[in-house]
Amino acid sequence: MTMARSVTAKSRAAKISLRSLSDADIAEVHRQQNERCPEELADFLDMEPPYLPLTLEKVKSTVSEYNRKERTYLVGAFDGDRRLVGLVFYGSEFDATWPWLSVLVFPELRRKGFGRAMAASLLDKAFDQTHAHSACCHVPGWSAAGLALAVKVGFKAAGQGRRSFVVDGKFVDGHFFDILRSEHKGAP
Amino acid sequence: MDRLEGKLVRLRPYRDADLEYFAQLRNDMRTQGWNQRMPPRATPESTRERLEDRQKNQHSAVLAIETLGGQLVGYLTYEEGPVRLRAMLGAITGPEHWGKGYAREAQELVLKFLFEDRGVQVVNLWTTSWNVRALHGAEKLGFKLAARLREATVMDGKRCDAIIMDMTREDYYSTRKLADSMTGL
Repeated sequence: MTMARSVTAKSRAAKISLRSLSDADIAEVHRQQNERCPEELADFLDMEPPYLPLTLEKVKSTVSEYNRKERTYLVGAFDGDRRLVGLVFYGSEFDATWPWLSVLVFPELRRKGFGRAMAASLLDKAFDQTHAHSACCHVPGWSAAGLALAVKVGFKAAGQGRRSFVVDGKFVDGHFFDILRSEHKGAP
Repeated sequence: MDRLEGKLVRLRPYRDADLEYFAQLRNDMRTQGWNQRMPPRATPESTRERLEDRQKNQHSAVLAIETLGGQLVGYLTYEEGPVRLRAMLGAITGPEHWGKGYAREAQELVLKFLFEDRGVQVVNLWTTSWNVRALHGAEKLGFKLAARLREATVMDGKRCDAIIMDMTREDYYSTRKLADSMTGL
């Protein structure tokens, strides 16, 4: 599977393509992390709480580190105007048949269908382009939109990990979801 | 932490001489407690590389488990992340040493270290629905089921579920009838 190539996914509400992040895109991710969604992006980039603004160099090195891992991609999602609207993560370093998926839409671009298109695209890649048997995702309990999105695209609730995060002085659980190949688009 | 000692076992930093046994454990289908799709390809050298890579995180450790008489029986790993919030625990012992309480005591020693010395809030453990021995052992220690990820792994040629278990500070202190000196959030 090649994520570096531009691949288009369609949903009812949005059209997106996935590709590697350029230096300018990484600068935008850095801006978003510093100004708009520090907790979510810090978590997405696997940073430690307290979620502080990250340096540009740190964001760059983290993206690069992820993409050096086997069968692991942290790439950008772009709309029809080639605008960076968020990030997607596909990780199957440990087991090619069991990828972990994540999507993040930048705050000002939410509720436009990008998240759903990004998630659908990742699931298509997992089941159409690889031998994935099932896929999983881990959604922070603070993200009502993320929890709803997981169900909308076909994931089933698998349980909760207690105290997975700390936000604003409170512990938040992490919600696990999974989907089997046979459940994806009603595949046989 | 340099070493931890209980009534049955001692945990200590691993040595080069341990790597051959660790590789054997990785290559033994009975102790491939996670996923038997992975081929038995561990060598002492590849094991060294894997463990060194794992220890790049200064808040993680790979510890040899040996009896108080000095016999190597397995190894245990933990990794904090986020630091002082969560930790992941894993232990593997040779089949010839199963049922002697070594793994249980080794995990208890590290749970004490993580909750009492490091102040973590929750410890996680991953296993599979196939590994009934590990599931019972974790429950006895006080772990609770957190999530079941369907058909995520393969054991004995069949798909089985990945099981994630967790133990919070409250679980740890209440099941051991100890007082927690750290106030909660």
